[in-house]
Amino acid sequence: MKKLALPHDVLMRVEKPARYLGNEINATYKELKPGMTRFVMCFPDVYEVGMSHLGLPILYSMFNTDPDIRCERVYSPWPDLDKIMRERKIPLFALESQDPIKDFDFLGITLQYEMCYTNILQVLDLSGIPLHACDRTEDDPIVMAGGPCTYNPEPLADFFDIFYMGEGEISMIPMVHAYRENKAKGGTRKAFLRKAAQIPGLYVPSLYKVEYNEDDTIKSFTPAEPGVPVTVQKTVESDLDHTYYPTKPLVPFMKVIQDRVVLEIMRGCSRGCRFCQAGMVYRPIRERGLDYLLSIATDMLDTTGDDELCLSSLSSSDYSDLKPLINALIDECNKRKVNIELPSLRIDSFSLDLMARIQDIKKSSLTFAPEAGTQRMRDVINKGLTEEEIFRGAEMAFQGGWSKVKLYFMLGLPGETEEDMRGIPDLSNRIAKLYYDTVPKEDRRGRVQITSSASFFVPKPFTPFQWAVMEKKEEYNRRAYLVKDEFRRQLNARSLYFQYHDADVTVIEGILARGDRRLGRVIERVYSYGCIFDAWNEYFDDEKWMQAFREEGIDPDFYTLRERSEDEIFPWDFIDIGVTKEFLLDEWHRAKKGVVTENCRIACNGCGASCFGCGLCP
Amino acid sequence: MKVRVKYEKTGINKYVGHLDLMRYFQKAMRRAGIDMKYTEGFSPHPVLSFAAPLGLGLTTRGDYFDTELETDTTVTTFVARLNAQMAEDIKVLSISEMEGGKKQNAMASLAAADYEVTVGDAVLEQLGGETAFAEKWQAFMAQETIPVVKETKSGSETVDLRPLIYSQGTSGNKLVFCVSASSANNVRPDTLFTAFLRSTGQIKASDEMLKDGEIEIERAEMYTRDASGKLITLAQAGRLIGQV
Repeated sequence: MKKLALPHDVLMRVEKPARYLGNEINATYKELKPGMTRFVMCFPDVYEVGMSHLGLPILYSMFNTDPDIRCERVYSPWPDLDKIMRERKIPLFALESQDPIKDFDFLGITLQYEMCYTNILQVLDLSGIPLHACDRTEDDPIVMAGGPCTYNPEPLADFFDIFYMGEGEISMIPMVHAYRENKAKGGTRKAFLRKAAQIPGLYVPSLYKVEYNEDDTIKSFTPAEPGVPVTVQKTVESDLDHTYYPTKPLVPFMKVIQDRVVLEIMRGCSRGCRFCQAGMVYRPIRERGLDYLLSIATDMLDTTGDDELCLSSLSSSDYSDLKPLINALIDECNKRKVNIELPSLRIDSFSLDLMARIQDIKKSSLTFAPEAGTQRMRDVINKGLTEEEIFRGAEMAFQGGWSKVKLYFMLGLPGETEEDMRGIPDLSNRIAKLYYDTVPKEDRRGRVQITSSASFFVPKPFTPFQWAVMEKKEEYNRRAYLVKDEFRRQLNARSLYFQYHDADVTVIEGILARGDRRLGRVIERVYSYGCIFDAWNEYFDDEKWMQAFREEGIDPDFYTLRERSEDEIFPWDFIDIGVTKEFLLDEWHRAKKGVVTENCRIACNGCGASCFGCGLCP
Repeated sequence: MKVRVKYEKTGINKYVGHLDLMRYFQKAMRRAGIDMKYTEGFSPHPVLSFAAPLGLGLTTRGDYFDTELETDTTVTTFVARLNAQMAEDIKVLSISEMEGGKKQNAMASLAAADYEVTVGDAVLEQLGGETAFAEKWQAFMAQETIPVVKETKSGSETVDLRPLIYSQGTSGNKLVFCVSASSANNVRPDTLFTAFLRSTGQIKASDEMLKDGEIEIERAEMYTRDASGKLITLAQAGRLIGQV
């Protein structure tokens, strides 16, 4: 019987003890040999959420194929266990070995979402690792971060030894080798960090210094020592067909959010929607080959026994070989009685026919993401989905038997007018009307159901909107009420549903997304009040965040209500993602004029990602 | 063909919930290439029907589920194949072919179950040692009735446990008993043990003791009744095809 870190009486009293056992099928039980480097990967949220992330399994399997490295996992203990661990001084442990995190050489935390930042401090604290990188000794693990939020790492600069920008397949193993070499020579922690700063994609915050202007904007961001690179360029895996893929994914006992085989079909996106950070930071566009995908799909179904498979990418409709891929997958899945979960596809006759084959039309809904209520606004954000396309798709779908539609919108987009806001209920209403015009009464199964959902726009680094202004939370709420009111006045109101997200969280997310190093103190203070799991409604406490800002003497509005000037130095400017700041600025100007930029598969727009010399770039 | 699978679940798997176990077996059977029968419709799935859920913290040496196979091609290698896909401390013990309809399925035909309660040192000491434990249990069993209050949806009712205990005895620090497990008259092992503890003047309930690790409870076997009304194991109700 495996020895567990948590005593029996604790496991019997916390919710879902299976979160903490680490006995999943396909978990690594590689023998721990002396001299092996121990790496523990962390997703700073609860097990069920963390286990649904694809990036971690890729790195997990990559590390575990290396004879000198053993990789395990850890997730944030749920608040009930967190409390007990503090009371009884039980140190945080990795799942597979149940050994304390402190015993590991590396702790790698993935940064997927800003609202998980306090959980990072929870993980460090429960592990007994000093929160501040500068306080760590030779015995503490190297604490590093990866994931999309590293594209503005500065709010977390105090807490991490290393940030890794880009795709982990490239520099992780070289980094561990550099660590091992340094250790073998008797080198110090600082010596290793200096070496790490030379490895592509790695950023060591302690080796850089920031100076501020009187108005709190950045005056300069420079290396603190000679030899430290001025810019850090992200890493890109150029050949996605000859790289690591977890062909033996973990099979949890518990039901996790994504309880299925995930097939990542490509990286990057050519659409150039101006609000979308992922579309920019994952360029250049690289596809995995059809044969490669089919072979890993079958391998993964064999090794997991999962009954569902899904495709993952930013815009699956754009995958070059989509038809043959989906047809081949449907065949394979039918043989095995496995469900296919289709990604959001552009609505056309192909996708409708497809969906009708594998989904119950009566129960499933069609999804469109207009993102904005008027064509003018859609042009501003460069979302190339016209009303004509939406109506054509919807009409085909209604004729095919669908009667449920989901629409995704954003409120608070740059230059938004009341007309744009009212456009949301107006568009929804006209789609409802289209249903009644298209489907004769005798063929209808009750009313059509149009569900519109609006989130509040958060400007992100490395997008054309990184200069944009946000609103106060009262204003976001006002806009949402206006739209809600307008929905009630529509002719087909009884067929329309409207939901919107929380404005409080939006503002904090906005502050952290484009924040600077000074925010580290705020994050630490809000954590000291006991705030964790901020991404969860039931735990997020806006009051505490505001109190933390006040006590640290930092004005939160500086990060949100201020339109950035075009020559301002951003905290993330030192990072090179391929796409240039010039391109983004040009896109910002085009946005203000409502000028559309074409999909780059049609013609290259010179964004800069071609510097990596791979993928779809000419 | 309809089959009945017997399995054991011990070690740290006692912390894995019942619904999770169901999903676990479904995936394990797919990995093992078992030719299962699937439901029709848009999300086909195999149907597994468990005899009875096992509470969190309990282990088992003899639990069962029924399922249906499309063909019998994988049945002789079933046990070996499935065991090759098992996690540590979960093991398939046997597979039997079953006749009959819904009324004969594991859950509907379940009549009784064997439980083994292992009493930890602290509790044993409180009871006065092994001999005193045995004596107290005998005294408890000598009663004509053992009334317990059972909470139901419509309120509470008093149930007499005595006629629902079919056999019992102590051995050292272990207590074994065979009790009714039918849906109409299910006797939970902790309910019976708590009633015993009350009779000895103990205040702490057995489910609290279970949570604190002061006692352990294992289900050892599950039974149905044959045509003459005799208790036979759920496996014996079918035709044994393979075992470990």
